[in-house]
Amino acid sequence: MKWLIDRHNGCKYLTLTIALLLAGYLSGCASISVSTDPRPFEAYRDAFSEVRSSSDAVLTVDYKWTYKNFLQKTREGDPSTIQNLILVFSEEGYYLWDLPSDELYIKIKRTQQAFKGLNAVFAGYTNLLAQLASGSLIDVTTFDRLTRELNESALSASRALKIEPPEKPVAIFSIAAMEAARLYIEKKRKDYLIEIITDNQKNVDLFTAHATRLIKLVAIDIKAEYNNQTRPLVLRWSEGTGDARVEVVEELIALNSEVTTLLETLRSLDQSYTLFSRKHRELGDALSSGALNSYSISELINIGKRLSSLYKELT
Amino acid sequence: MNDEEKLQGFDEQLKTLNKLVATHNKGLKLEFALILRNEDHSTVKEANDRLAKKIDKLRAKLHAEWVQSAKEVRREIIIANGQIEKAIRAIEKRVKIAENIVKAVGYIDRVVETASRLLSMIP
Repeated sequence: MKWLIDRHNGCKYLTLTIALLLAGYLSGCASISVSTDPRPFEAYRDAFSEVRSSSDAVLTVDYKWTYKNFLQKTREGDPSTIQNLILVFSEEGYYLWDLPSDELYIKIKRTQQAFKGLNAVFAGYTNLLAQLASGSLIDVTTFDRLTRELNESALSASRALKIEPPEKPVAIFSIAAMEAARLYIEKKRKDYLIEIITDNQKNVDLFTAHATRLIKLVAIDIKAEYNNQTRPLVLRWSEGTGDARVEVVEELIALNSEVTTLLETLRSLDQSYTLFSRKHRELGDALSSGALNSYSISELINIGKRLSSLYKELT
Repeated sequence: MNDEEKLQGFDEQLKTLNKLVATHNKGLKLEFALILRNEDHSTVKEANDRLAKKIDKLRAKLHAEWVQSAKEVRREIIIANGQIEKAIRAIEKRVKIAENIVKAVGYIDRVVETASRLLSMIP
């Protein structure tokens, strides 16, 4: 009978040993506080979403105005507007065609598409960062469920072994093991985030530098197209009288209002893209130093709000 | 020309273009002043039109250059996104390992339970 009791205890010890191994295998730096606040990453992602919408809206205006000027040049009899639209076919291929020269509005359309694509991959980046920082990746409820299952199985074995009452120590031990596992994975997640942010700072700088260059080019486009739109208005004013002149002046006032809103939006976008680069670096620093929870996200939230209201004015 | 020089070249062209647009704006103001005074404005208009053509050419050139360089940046970010997806998968795998360990402990416990029942049946 004695050997039977020893075997019962052996089984009990086997269960505890496995649980201990589980804790040992998974814990690593379990004693370090590693929880990651996902909110700054979510704010980063959400603010960029606003920036993306506004960027597309200003490029749409740029395209429309440039196309409008192309039509105006056609009206004025510029022969290049028709000459450049005649397709040229290649002698080599059966299905090849080209245009003699791309009109500016076509080039701007291509820029818009390229910028859309570039912003989309960066939005994907911000989304993946938020996903990696997200609590749902290491779901507390999953770990609670695992702890419960671990406790239940340990208890069922204890009951079978008629060991009474091991409930409390086993339960505490299981919670500790699962918490160790959770902390270990949490630490891994934090390490990945730090590594990714550090590795990609150069790319983010490059992206934002490219974006701000384009924003400046679009600002120039808008001013150039404004210049192009003023001559017909002045000519109409000088040729007309009374109400016709009032109509022209009202059109000019509306145009001025639109241009100033556009330039204001572009200025905000320029600042925002620059800020995204800085905030990306700051997120990495805050994460490394453990100060992420106190990290200020208000600047990003304000950008989102400001661009959202400017976007409404534009569309 | 390396990437850095290309970017500097782009920035210089941007500054030049911005100045040309401001000059065009001034030229148009002069042209409009002549129109509104019913004076001959044809020479100024021709000069303005020449400048506008140059501006449009430079705008087209810069847009084309930007699109070209954007492709390279886009490629870099796509690579970065792949890295994060890998990290997410690694985390998910570790959560799975924890789940599997719990299952294994449960399985061993069930074996222990069964074994103890069998043992209790031994007289």
